Amino acid sequence: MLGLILNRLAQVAFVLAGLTVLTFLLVRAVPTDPATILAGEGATAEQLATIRERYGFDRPLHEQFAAYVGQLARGDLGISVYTSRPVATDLVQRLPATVELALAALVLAIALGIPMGVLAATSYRRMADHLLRVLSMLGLAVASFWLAIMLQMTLSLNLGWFPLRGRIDTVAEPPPGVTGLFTIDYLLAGQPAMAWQALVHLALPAVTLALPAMATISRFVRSSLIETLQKDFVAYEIAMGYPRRVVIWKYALRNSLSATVTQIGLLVGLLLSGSIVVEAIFSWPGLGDYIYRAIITGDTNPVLSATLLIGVIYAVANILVDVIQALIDPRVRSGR
Amino acid sequence: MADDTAPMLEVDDLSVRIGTLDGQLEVLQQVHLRVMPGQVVGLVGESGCGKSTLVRAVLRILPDSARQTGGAIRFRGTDLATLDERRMSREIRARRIAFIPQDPYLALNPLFTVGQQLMEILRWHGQAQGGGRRQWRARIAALFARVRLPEPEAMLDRFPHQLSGGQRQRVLIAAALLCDPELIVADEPTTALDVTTQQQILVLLRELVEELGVAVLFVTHDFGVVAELCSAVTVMYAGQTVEAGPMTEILHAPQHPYTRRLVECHPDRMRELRGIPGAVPSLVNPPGGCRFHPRCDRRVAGCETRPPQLVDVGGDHAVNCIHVHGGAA
Amino acid sequence: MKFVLRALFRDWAAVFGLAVIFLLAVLAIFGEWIAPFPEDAFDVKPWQRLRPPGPEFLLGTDALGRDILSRIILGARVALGIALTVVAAAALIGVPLGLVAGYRDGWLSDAIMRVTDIFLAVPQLVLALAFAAVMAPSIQTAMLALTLTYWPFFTRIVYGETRRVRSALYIDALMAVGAGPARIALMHILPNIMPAIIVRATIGLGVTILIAAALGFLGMGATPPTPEWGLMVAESRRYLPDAWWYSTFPGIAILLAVLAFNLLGDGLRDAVDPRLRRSR
Repeated sequence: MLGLILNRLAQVAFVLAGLTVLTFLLVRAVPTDPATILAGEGATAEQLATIRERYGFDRPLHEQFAAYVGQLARGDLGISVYTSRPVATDLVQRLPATVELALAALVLAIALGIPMGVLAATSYRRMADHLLRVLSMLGLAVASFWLAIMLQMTLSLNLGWFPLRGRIDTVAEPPPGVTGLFTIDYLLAGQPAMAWQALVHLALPAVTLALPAMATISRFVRSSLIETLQKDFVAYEIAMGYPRRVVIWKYALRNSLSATVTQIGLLVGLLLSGSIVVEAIFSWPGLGDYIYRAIITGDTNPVLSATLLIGVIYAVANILVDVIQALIDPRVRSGR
Repeated sequence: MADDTAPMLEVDDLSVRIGTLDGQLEVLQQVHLRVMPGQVVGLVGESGCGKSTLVRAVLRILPDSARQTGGAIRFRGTDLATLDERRMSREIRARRIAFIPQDPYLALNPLFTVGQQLMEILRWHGQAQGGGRRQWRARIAALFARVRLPEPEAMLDRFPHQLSGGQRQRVLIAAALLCDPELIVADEPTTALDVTTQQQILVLLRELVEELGVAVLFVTHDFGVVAELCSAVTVMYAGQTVEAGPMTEILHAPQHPYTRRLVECHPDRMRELRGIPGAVPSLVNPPGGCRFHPRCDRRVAGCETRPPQLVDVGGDHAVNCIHVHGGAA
Repeated sequence: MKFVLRALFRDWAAVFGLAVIFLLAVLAIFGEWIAPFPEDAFDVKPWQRLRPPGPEFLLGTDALGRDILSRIILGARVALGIALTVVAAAALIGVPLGLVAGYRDGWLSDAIMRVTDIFLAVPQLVLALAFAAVMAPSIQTAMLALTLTYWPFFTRIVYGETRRVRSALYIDALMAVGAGPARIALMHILPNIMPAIIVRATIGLGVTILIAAALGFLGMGATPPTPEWGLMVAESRRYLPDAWWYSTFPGIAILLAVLAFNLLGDGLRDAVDPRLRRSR
């Protein structure tokens, strides 16, 4: 088990190193001169030269890369032109909002996606299966930016049931930071009304983000459960008088999940990329919104650092997948 | 206790259809079978003759595409078709009719310990025995010891992949005995095992059956196994019962040409090993008349056209052949 | 092949997808003749801005008075153009790399697969945004960014399939009769893995339309006044909730297009490989 994790860590380290090279090349090897961007329009040749020297743009690429890695190792991700603050500080400050949103979406997606997949599989090729198939195909095909806007238009602007944007009302005081998740922090601080407010703010972005993930989960659970239900052990369990629901929800589903779990990486990918669009639309002050703002202001440092951070999150998620799978499946655990 | 002279399991003129892409297949037709209390009955036939379908019909675990289209399966006088899935699962399966499956490698759920899986059976059917988790564990361990599994206590916490094939089959036998059933249906329980293990499992089964007096329906394609274990035999061919009767009679005086050939195939009989030419016919388009006639060496005019009926030849012996006439034998 | 087509046409969902794709193709090719106001791709008609759907403008007009139906029809060419270019280019890069990596052993195939892993280490939209962010936003930039981030999907699937086919016996037989590796890869392996590539490409077209629209929406793709669906949704945000038609219809166009390719991809996969297989 430990060996498995170490092995995966080594792979991940390699991939992240590669990603670092890639992002570095992106910044430095593009035909545009970074100094011109930093100096702004109308800079004099002297100013440009000063900037080149200060940031080391005049040195050979490999030296620049060594310097870049040195910075990364010290946790120095550069300065954001837009916020004029260190990118590392910004990222740390914005991570909890994204975590809260992504977790809420993941919980929703799992809580709805698994029963949907089970229902579809147990009504294979019957009405419920067809309806759920249409629903999940729609969930995968819908553009989340459009869905977000449709939800805002109907539920916020027209009906006024949900706030339009943000984590809490603009005048409200954020909770004392414990977990960084507003809903939980308000509860911990004994402010249930504020927790409710945070939850209501969370609802629309979380639903938007959850939909494609829910569709994905339901499709995976469906196809792998259909496969599992044809196994001999399912017939045996029925023949030995296990109630049908126990066979499906406990014994067959666990087998299907161990096959589905490998796809969690894909889900995390969906959630991370979805969060950029969703946070931008709902002004959710997380990583996605940060990346969006950095992109439209042409602020490369935050974009690339956030890309690296997302790579790290993605990698951690994929290692977690292995661990979860080992927990579910004793055969993986004993290395068979 | 129930009447010991009435049949425990009686399959009467059963037919089952399965819907496939090629249309409706009548996989079972005119199937008759009888198991008396305490009796061990062998159900014999080549692969594809419908033995497993019959077993599934008895346990009511046929696939959704299959339907019972005629006849009845009576257990202790109750037509099982009148029980809904819930009662079937709560009152019959495991508790009164237990099942030993064909392939011990596939029948156990790989993600749960064998203990967890057997506890599940007791959880739904163990009320009769009373007791809680600890008593259940003790009961399972005792049964494990009885089927001669090594370290019975530790065995409970093992996962299926940690056991050998023979050990898994012993686990499945123990599972079948958990609720003191009246009837055990064993679907080729030794086919997936190697020859030595097969022999050990057979010995174990015979011991247990003699000791417990439980009735067994033992499905196999191997007449040798039947001869060793059973007191009565039902022979099936292409979805039909062709002959049924007491072991000794079938073994020494088989009446149906197919049974005769099967018995000749049995190496212990010291005869020349002779396979039966041809193969079990496709059920998509079964031969008209007697289904065995294309392969039969006693074929006469009329075999292709007139389907024979199963006739009683006396002494609990019944044959389904044009050459055999009711009562006369 | 015949069998595959028959299985495909039994699948009503795939047939629906095919029909929508056919419609899209017709719109993409003959858009100017079909759209009621073909000049509305670029014109500005302030006197008729934000008209709700009605007999004259079936889907209403936008903030610059342009007919939304016309712009959606003209947008089909943009969407399909981006998708086809990106998927074709990604396949041209990804398929040969996957073939080489799958067919040969040694450092070269290791290197190819490691690089593929690196590109797959970040979700596609994120990486595409990073690429697009360092360049000036335009349709060309977006297509480049999408191509650079989509080829690894081809490499990975071709690699896996090549490995599978390579281990089949007849490849050994071909080697025995002296066929060269290039010949085996092109003449014998490629045709065998073509179904997998086609399925991946079909689904890729849908994914690309979706991500290209997201890039357009985020301002990293098409620039005004291009009739690009994602961009149209972005432009409409300021006029909500009153001009509901402005946001609604371009989004439905995206939904239908992506849905069509997904349904066809699913249907193709089931037809080619009747086993249930998990895949996006």
